[in-house]
Amino acid sequence: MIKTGAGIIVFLVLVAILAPYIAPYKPYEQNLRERLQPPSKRHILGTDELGRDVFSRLVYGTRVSLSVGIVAVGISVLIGVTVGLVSGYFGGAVDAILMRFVDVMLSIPVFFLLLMVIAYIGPSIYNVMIVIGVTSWPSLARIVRAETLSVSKRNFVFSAKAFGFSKLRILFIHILPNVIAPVIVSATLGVGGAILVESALSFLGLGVQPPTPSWGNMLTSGKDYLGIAWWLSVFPGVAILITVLAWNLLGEGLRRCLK
Amino acid sequence: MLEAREIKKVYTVERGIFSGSSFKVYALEGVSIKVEKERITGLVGPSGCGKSTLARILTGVEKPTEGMVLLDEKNILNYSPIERASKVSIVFQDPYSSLNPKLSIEYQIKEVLTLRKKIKKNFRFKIEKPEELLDFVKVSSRVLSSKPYQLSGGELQRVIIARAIALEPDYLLLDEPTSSLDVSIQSQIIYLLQELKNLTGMGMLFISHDINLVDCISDKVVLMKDGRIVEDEDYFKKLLNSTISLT
Ligand SMILES: Nc1ncnc2c1ncn2[C@@H]1O[C@H](COP(=O)(O)OP(=O)(O)O)[C@@H](O)[C@H]1O
Ligand SMILES: [Mg+2]
Repeated sequence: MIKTGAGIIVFLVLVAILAPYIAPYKPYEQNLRERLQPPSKRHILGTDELGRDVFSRLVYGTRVSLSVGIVAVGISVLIGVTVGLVSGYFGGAVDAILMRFVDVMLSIPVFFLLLMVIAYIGPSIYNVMIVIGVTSWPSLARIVRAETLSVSKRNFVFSAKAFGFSKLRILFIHILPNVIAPVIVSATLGVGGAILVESALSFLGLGVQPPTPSWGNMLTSGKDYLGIAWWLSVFPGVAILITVLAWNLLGEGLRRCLK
Repeated sequence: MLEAREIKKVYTVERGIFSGSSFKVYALEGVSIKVEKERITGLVGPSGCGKSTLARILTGVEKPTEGMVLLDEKNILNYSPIERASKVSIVFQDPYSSLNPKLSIEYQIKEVLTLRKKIKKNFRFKIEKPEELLDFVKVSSRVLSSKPYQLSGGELQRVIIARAIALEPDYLLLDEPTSSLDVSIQSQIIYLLQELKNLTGMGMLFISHDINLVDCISDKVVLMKDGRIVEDEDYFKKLLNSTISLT
């Protein structure tokens, strides 16, 4: 599981980095004389309504999907871990306030929150990353808090306090490494989730804006031609499917082996 | 002197998430005890009588519900954490949970040696490198690159004692330091502790539920039962002669 997942992810990362060398055409290059061509030798995944090469756009779209997924989860981990550590370690009123906030966040349907915020601040790839990150940390905070609570009771934490180590040292050097395993699992699964959300937002026109190619907005433009040009929708769909599957495989595999 | 005066400690335990009710545990009900330099004070009592709670409070990390701990005649809560750490140190029963499982022995020794450099105090011994500290507890420097789980219980407890004495504290609190070790290793650790006491003049509080062990190594023995100190000499003699274990 881990190997398959990680293998696909490494492959995708390479595709994203080497996109200019892999893509046979520029992703924005239009050729109106070759509109809506089915897959052929010249265009292995066909062309879209503006005569752009679908394969090239798909390759460049990898960059968008991976960076949105990873950056969004990075933001979410940063907030979730900090809130969880602080809440679990300090307890009391700090914990009560932070956890009630988490409860509230968890009771709001995240996707509608996303839609509202994006509609308000405007769609762009950066806003999408930030908004997904900022809305998806609460469940992570809960996990980290529970782990922190139990780790804090261990003698080595008491020793660290007895030595008068700073709170930062105790939290980030002594407790964090002992609570990180479930974070890694949940973050890995989270990347797949974030990629799906990005696709959905882009599909609704609230994510990455054309002409920048993202798998989600490729799906959108493809839907109008579903009857006559299936390749416009099918290939981005398959790309999303494989990528999300790869992150889930890796996450599940890590969950099993970190147990 | 490290002195506990009329310490009371009440824990409030939540019964369940949904019931919202809680009950109180009276762990200590007015305990006074003195730990003097250059002496080993023994503290014996059955398990659950509050010995560990008292030890944690004596470090100044855990606060008592009532009463106070005096460290060299000053309330221990008025010391800065580092200053307090340079005077009082603690060793726990379970060596496996006393070191961070994720960090190497070297890292965990170096972090207290770094602390040592920050403390303004006239140290008697030259301890700059981890190896020099390990010499005090007779552990080979080969363990430095290991993680705690790679060491035996005895080695681990020695490393923990090394860390505990790194700041040359005046008082060392030992909460059943040998109870989870093999019998043969127990006596080695006790021998080491006595040696360290003679070398440094530290005052020690030796906590155990084994009255014969405590009687044999302590200059003074204090008995505890149900969160209180027992002053009864006869009770003590009876316990000492009986083969019935306190636990
Ligand atoms: N953090 C805590 N929360 C609730 N109860 C506690 C806590 N620590 C200790 N106790 C209770 O206080 C009593 C004394 O415990 P302890 O000091 O560990 O005894 P001993 O070390 O003599 O075995 C026990 O009844 C124990 O359950
Ligand atoms: Mg105990």
